[in-house]
Amino acid sequence: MSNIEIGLTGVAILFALVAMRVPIAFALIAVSFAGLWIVGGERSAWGTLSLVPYTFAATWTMSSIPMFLMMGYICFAAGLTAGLFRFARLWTSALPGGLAIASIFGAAGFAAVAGSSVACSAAMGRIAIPEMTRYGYDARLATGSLAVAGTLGALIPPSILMILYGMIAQVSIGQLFLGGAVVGGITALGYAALIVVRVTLNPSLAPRVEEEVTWRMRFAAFRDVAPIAALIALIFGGLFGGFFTPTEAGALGATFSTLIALLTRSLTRSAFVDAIRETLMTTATLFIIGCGAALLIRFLALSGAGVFLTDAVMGFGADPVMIVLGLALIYLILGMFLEPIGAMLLTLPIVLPIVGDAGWSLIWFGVFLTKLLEVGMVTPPVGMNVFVIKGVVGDLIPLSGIFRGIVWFLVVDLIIGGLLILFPQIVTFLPALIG
Amino acid sequence: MTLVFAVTNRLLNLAMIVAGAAVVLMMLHVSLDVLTRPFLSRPLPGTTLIVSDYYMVACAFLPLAYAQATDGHISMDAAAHLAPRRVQYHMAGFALLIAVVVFALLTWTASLDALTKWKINSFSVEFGTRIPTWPSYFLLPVGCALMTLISGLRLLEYALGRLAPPK
Repeated sequence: MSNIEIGLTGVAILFALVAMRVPIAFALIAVSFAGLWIVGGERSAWGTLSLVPYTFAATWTMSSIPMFLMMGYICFAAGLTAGLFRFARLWTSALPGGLAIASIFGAAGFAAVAGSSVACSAAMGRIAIPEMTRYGYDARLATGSLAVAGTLGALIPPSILMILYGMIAQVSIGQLFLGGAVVGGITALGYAALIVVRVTLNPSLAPRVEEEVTWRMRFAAFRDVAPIAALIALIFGGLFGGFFTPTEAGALGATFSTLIALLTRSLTRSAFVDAIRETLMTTATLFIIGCGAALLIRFLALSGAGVFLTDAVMGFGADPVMIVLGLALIYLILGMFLEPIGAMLLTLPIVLPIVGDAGWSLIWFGVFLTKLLEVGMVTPPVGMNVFVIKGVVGDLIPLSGIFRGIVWFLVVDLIIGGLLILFPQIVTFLPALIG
Repeated sequence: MTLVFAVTNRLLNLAMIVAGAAVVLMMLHVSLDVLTRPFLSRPLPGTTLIVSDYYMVACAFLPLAYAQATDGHISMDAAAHLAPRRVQYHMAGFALLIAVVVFALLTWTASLDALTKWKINSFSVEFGTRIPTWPSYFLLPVGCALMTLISGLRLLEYALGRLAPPK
């Protein structure tokens, strides 16, 4: 077997192992180590294995991951984000489907303190779904809105997915965050517009909430969200203004959210311990996958299989749009079965050179990829956000009903995806302006 | 056997406590560094180094074993879910076998690396302050050794037919 054949066989074995429920990290490390041994010999295999894990974790940039995770978990544990829904609700009360729209914007606010999608759906779902049920909202609309609202979590900064992408693709995390903020904002507006249209066409989906909302109440609600708004303003002001690195922004965010929680007496000791435990579990499981991906990159490079695959794809259809459409299809399918960060780390070593060769900006691709992988969070059979919402609502609606409530939102996602391909400037404009 | 598990659980919890301390210290240390920046002419000595070489290595590798004990490592369930129960049981055993091999290898090479760093007394210099880095290299093999241990114990449970079915 030639080295390239060994590399390709390795990739095939890797996917077979993952399909057999071998944890992604273990499969990546096992295949890469064996492959490096066969292609590069004993010394190269041992040398890489002892060098990569330590150097992958022991970096300043990567330390922003536990810090942002901790900020999100603490805000969640202390219920600091509960005011967001009430606030959004008062301001959207005049719109058709106001409560559903409020849950979208509430989730967008939550996304600005938390870096993942599931937490976002869970936190908002627990507050918003009972309200919507109380006012006779259609259960599919209510649960579907919350499941898709969660996908804003990874698009709107901070985003753990984007930090890892930035690390592997060697691009600026601040620029990815800016691009993500734009696309996250467009997504939230798109979902809200869809709700307005659907409820206008069929008012029985969301009966009007009969309650008088005065401007005085709307402005008074600012007080509830003031601490969290100040926190968000401080962190992103500092980050995009160039005063802090991502790690510093995350650490300050975690410290201040702990302080706010302590001052408002909303954080119990056990909730704090839980937040730390969740932070550590997520950090360790993501980092070990990251180490595996870093090893795979070396194996693919050494065997020549990486270049071979890139050349094969480029020779097959050199049109950049076709390549991105093909990749989009692959990621939508992968996203149906795999957890987004796992899917990303598993495939980036192969995909990144192809995207670069096709002439796409790696910042653009990072944001586009995040959007695609987040769609996977709400599509069957494995849609984590949907499972979380199902856990929140219990017997109100079957799993299939929630999936059906999502279909209309997927149309919005497809339109946004298409716009991103046609007008990549949507993503790259702001980072280029500031960065 | 019960004793072995009790001792292992103690060790896993201890590792989590050390990692938890690292992540809280990281948060405070970095915040302090940022907040004192306007008043000091130079950053707190060694912040970057201590964050990346000590806190990060602790919180990335020490909780690995705890995650393994609670079935927390990320895997793809969709396809495996369709297999018959008995096959699924053997797949779980196979995944544990891979875990034992992978983390035994990592423990071995990381230990050798740590011993070398210790022997040469490796250190870094930041703003004129000499900070030893060799102790941090021992965190990686410790985390991986715990991971090998818990994976090995669970593999034993599998061999005895006592492994709990996957969630």
